[in-house]
This record gives sequence, structure tokens and C-alpha cells, in this order.
Amino acid sequence: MRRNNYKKSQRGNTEEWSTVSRRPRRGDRDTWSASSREKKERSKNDFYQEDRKWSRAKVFKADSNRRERKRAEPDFPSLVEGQVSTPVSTTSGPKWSNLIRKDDDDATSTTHEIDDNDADADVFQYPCPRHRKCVRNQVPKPNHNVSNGTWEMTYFKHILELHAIFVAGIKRLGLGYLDMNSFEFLEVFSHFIKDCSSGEITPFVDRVGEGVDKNLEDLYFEYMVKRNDI
Amino acid sequence: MGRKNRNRIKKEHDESSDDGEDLYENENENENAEFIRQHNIIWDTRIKMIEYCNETAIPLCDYLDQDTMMGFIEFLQEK
Repeated sequence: MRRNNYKKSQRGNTEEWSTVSRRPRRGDRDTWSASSREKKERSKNDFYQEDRKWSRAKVFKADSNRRERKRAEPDFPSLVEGQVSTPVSTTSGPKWSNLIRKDDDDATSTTHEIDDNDADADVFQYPCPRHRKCVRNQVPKPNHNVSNGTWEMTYFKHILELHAIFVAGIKRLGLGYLDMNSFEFLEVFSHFIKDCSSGEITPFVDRVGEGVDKNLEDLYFEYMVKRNDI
Repeated sequence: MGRKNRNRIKKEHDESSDDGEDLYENENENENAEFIRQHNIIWDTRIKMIEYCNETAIPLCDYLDQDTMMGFIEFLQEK
């Protein structure tokens, strides 16, 4: 009987043609019994080696192909002076007629025609970005951005009337030393009336704007010139 | 309260009730009368102004109260 020269750990199928797997032995580096640390190191080394092999082979292959392949120069027709070259039909390349589908045909109208039946259709609403929430059922706040000159000019006639009433009533208090008919007093009185009111121009006022009453306008212009010391 | 102390307080009270208090009271009455007169004048003027605003339907005297008018008159008097 032939003596087996193999070690005990190498018993089994060592032939390459064998499909029966050999049972792993202790001390065998290529088996699952290796520690996790060894596995990690091995996989790391294999990765770098494979990467190096791959990169070298790939680069060499690419260089060899580049040298072998040469871009074919297009065969343009020679230009002759004084002669217009006719375009040459190409057989290669995509055929755009094949890409056109039936839906893209102009014969079939894709526009939406508005009929009587579509009157109740939903109207497209453009999405508007909102930066803050909408507050509903809120009474609009009054606009205080009304200049004093505009307010004064609007109510100048009534200010003059109120000024007359005020002077007639206050004269009994013995304030005769005050020049109540001066434009300075009228300016102070105008500010006093504005403080006593809302300071806004009501939309129901009769005379707003210029060119309504010429005399009143001239009077206001004179008052404004004197007040501003022009 | 003892007898002596009661007499002392009664004597001091009798001395303090002289003509000075009557003058002070008279001055107060005059001031009150003047104040009431001014108050009535300002009141009438204010009512006339408010009536004018109501007739012409303008919102110029919506917040015109008596204190505001008195303050404006004091402002004019200081001038």
C-alpha cells in the first residue's frame, strides 16, 4: 500500500478537478477559521492589488486602442472655385421621421376649445406664493398716510368757518390781546382741529382737490405762502 | 381729654377763626365763578362748532371734548 506523504491537515481533495470541498482544518489560512482582523487585512490587500492590476491593465489597454484606432477623416467633396457645392444626402444617422409619433402630428389638434359645456370648467389658477397667512373677516385699517397739506387744503373752507365760530365765542374770555385773525393763529387752530378729528379725509367730503373753488384756492395759496414764510 | 387741654384747644380754635378764612373763601368763590363762566363760554363755543360739523357732515369735531378745549384755551393764555 502506498504511503500517504501528505500531512494530516492536507488530507482530502486537493485536486483542482474535484468538486467536493475539503473540510477546513485548523491552521489553514484560507478558511473561515481565520480571525476577523486577518480577514480585514486580507481583503484590504486584495482590493489594492486588484485595483492596481486593473488600473495598469486598463491604462495599457486604453493606450493601445488609442494608438490603433484613428479617426476616419470625412470625405468632403473638393471645392471648385466658381461652383456651388450641392449637399450630399447622408444615409447614416438617425431618421427624425421615425421619431415623430402620431400624437405630435399637427393634423390632430391638441388645443382645448371652449364650448358652452366647458363654461363651468375649472379656471386654471396660477399658484401665488404667500409669505404670510391670510386674515379673513378683518376690517380694513384706516390709512394715516395723509399729508397735513392735503388734509388742510381739503377742509380749508370748514376750518375757516370753525375759526370764525371759535373767535366769536372766545372773544368773551378777554383774549383780545391775541391776534386771532393772523395766519399764525390760523395755523395753530388748524393743527388743533386736526388733533380733534381723525386726521383723515372722508370720501364723502364735497370739495376735494384743486380747481373747485377759485377764490378758496387763492386764499389757501396766500395762507400757505405766509405760513411758510416764502 | 383733660379740662385744661380742652380749654386750650377751644381757645386756639377761637383765635384761628378770624377774617382771613373769610377772604380765602371769598377768593375761592370768585375763582369758582370765573371758572364756571369760562367753562360755560367754552362749552357754548364747543357746542356751536360741533353743531356746524354735524350740519355740514364733516368729521372735524369728532374728538372735540371739553378738556381738549380747556387745554387749548390755557395754551393760548400762556402765549
